[in-house]
Amino acid sequence: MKTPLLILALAAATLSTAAAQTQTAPTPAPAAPAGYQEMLGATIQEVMSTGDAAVLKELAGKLERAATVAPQDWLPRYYQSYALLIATFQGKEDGDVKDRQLDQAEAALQQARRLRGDESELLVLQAYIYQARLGVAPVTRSMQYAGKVNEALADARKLNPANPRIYLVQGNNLYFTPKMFGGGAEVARPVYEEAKARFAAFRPATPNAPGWGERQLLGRLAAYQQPAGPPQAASK
Amino acid sequence: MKLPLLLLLLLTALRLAAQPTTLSGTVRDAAGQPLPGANVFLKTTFDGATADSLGRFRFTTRQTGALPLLVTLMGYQPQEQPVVLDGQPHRFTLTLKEVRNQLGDVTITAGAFEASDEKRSTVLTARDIVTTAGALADVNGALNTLPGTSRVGEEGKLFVRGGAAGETRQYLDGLPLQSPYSASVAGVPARGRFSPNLFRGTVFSTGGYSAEYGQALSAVVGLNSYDLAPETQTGISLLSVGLSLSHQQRLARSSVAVTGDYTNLQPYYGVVPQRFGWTTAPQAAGGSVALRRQVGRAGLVKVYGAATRAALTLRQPDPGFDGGRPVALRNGNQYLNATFRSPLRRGWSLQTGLAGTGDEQHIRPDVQRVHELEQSLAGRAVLTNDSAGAYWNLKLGAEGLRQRYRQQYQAEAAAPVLRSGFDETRVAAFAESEVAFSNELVARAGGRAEYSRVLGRWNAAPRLALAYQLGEGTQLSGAWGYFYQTPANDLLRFGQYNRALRFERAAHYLVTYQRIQQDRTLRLEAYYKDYAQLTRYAAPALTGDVPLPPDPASYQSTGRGHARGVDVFWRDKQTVKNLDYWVSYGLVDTRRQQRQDPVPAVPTFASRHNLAVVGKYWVSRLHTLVGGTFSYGSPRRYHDPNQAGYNQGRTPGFQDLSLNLSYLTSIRRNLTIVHVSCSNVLGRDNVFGYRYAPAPDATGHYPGVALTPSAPRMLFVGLLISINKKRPADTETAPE
Repeated sequence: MKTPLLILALAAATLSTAAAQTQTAPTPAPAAPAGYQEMLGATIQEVMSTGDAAVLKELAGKLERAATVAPQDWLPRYYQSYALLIATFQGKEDGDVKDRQLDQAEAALQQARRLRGDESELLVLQAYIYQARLGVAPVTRSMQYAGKVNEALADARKLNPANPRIYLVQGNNLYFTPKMFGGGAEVARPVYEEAKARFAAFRPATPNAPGWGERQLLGRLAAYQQPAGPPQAASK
Repeated sequence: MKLPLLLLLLLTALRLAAQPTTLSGTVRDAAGQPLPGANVFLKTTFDGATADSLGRFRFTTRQTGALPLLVTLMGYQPQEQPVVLDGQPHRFTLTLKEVRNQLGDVTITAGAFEASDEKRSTVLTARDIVTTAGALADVNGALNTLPGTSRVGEEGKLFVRGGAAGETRQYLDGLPLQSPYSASVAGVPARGRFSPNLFRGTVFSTGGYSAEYGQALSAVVGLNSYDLAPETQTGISLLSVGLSLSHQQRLARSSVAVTGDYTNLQPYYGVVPQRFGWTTAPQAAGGSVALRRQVGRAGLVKVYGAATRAALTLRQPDPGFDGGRPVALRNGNQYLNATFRSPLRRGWSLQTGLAGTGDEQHIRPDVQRVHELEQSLAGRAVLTNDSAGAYWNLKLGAEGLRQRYRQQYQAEAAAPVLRSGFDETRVAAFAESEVAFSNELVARAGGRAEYSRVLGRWNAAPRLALAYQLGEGTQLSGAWGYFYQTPANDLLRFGQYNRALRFERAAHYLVTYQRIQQDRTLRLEAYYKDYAQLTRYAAPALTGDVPLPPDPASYQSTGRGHARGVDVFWRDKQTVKNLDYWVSYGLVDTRRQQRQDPVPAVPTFASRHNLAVVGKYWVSRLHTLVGGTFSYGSPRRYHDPNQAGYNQGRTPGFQDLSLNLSYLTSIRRNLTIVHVSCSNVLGRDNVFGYRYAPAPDATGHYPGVALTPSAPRMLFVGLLISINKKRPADTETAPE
């Protein structure tokens, strides 16, 4: 269980893209100092383009600083949480250290919630944090956290079924469940396909709003076309 | 001349201002230790840095003027100071103050083992109970692998630190259990009445427990049941000894779970020869219903009801009977538990509940007839305030119990019926507070007062525990307290008529060292337990083989005793991947004078050295969890009437190696576990004691027979299927 989760995180961290965020969607920024949006955007780009735990923790610090520049903006807290989460997946620390880091990620997420951020996105991130909690002690936690992941994703879907990241995280869950027991690549595929369709229709509300995951998804879907991919995929 | 100079000055000033300012320094805690990870930055800007592993930081800024420099780190108070950005480098030596502990950061561990899934650092998890070899999925069986316990194979109950089984009190959702074990007769080990699958957590405290718990001289087992069932699921268990079905249905704000089970050892005994002559192999049928419902925003109502019927007939080894003495047992048990909990206003929360028990037994030893009926109703209300003060909390509670006990005895079918019994009303109140004196030192102080109507007495029991955190994951703690218990039912039957009868009492003193680092736990505990006011009575006189009713005047609260020893626990889940093992060792030195003991003696249920080694290995390639448990108990005492002295005989030491195996697979995509277990694989001849005839034979010798288990080994095979439509089977993780 642990290894697939790590691979998943690695993929998410290294393949995530901020490409979607650069698309122009000129929305008026909240009252923040000039240059804030650009600085935040550049920091988000950095988060999305690294898989180094130490760099991610540095960037989480920078995002915390950004939160003091615009105390009413939920996005720096959201990305702070995201950076800490990916840093946890990437880190080699023991379980207690990881749990503490996830506590910090969750604290940042709570702050983003209090600022009334996009609840559907926040729930997806919460589900992702639960997956990380599960990965810390899979044997004792799988029962408790597997349910929590599904619940958070279901709530996210209720709020905004158009959020493509719901299907990405759900697809990953299925992808790493063994094939003979109801999971596997082929079962995950329609969920990934749905994610693809949702990504195609998705436009972030603002340039810096959450938009990660598409490149990871395309990487996953590309694997189905390769001859070394799952046998069912190869035969078709 | 003047103007150019001014211009020059102005230009210099401007250039100075435009020059970046470098800020650097160190961040340390009050003790001078570096604080890596601290975020040092100019408030309202992106400029700042994260302190490195030596607590150093350095950054440059193009900001000018005066800005607050802010330092933040989780667990420390944020610090702010103004800094003038004038193009000159500035160095800072920053010291952060730790946030003072909220209560709960340091948990008092003296005496208590907690088994739960909620915290990663607990000593045992709920699934350990199911996967421990030799425990046979019995809560008590698993707790018997922890230090402080002595294996008493013929009883199957919990005997803690030189205490009898009755000195351990079990609580279900805070309410005392009046009949925690399945009905049994001497020589046939009892099991816990409740399936371990009901509980999300178990607390096993072998001394120094909270004022919340009364009526326990030696230990407390707190069983906490699940709240709302997480998902709809159906379970089918086909066992070599019976069948069990369960279904739970999750609704939006409530859940319902029903179970039904039937066990019959007849087919198994037909295949595997037994030493005892079983006329009716143990059989039982039972069912339960559990309802959960959310009330209001955070309130929860839980109702659990269960009923069982059980019967067995066997011939017990007995020197007076050829082929053993026949004993028949029939038992009916009903249990209902209803609890409600909800937050109230101003930080207070309420936990309350009612539990009713009815237990009826018909026992026929040879031609005698015994009928026992016990009915009880227990209620409890506890108010907790976790924010009573910044650094202390408060818990207040009240408990009440009504108990009716009746026994009818006939020496034979035609003999007159002798009736005895008592009615008890017991009330108790307690108050307790946890106080955090500093980040390292936490104390728990409380008291409990009880009144018993049958004794016509009350008691007051002070309790105190202290915990000092030596470092990350390392704690030294201690506990002291007085613990009272009313004498057991069979003692109260006659003892109640003596107005001098008192509560039995134990005083506990214990010191614990615990270190949890990563996935390794070490616990050392030394204890001393001082018993007083134990009930004693004169051995009843005999007319032939039949004892006369005892004389109430001989019941006195004058027994004394002590138990002292050391418990060691080591658990390691880390060193070998997929291997989890623990070692428990308990040394107990104990003597007491109680019941019929003519002199202080080592009780028959205590063994001096107790060892358990438990191992579990998950073979992920085979989807199989294999486990083994080795138990050793040093020789136990028994009374041999053929020798001078009292409790002077010694049984051979107890040894058992149990193995189990759980294979995870799927049947039509439903998670299926194939479980095989075998006790005493090496076939050791364990002897629990000897039974002697009440009178000597013609040569003046008391004939005796050895008390042994019904069979040297017990083999168990089970097929457990869970049908869950929402969640596909996951056979990649070790079973729950």
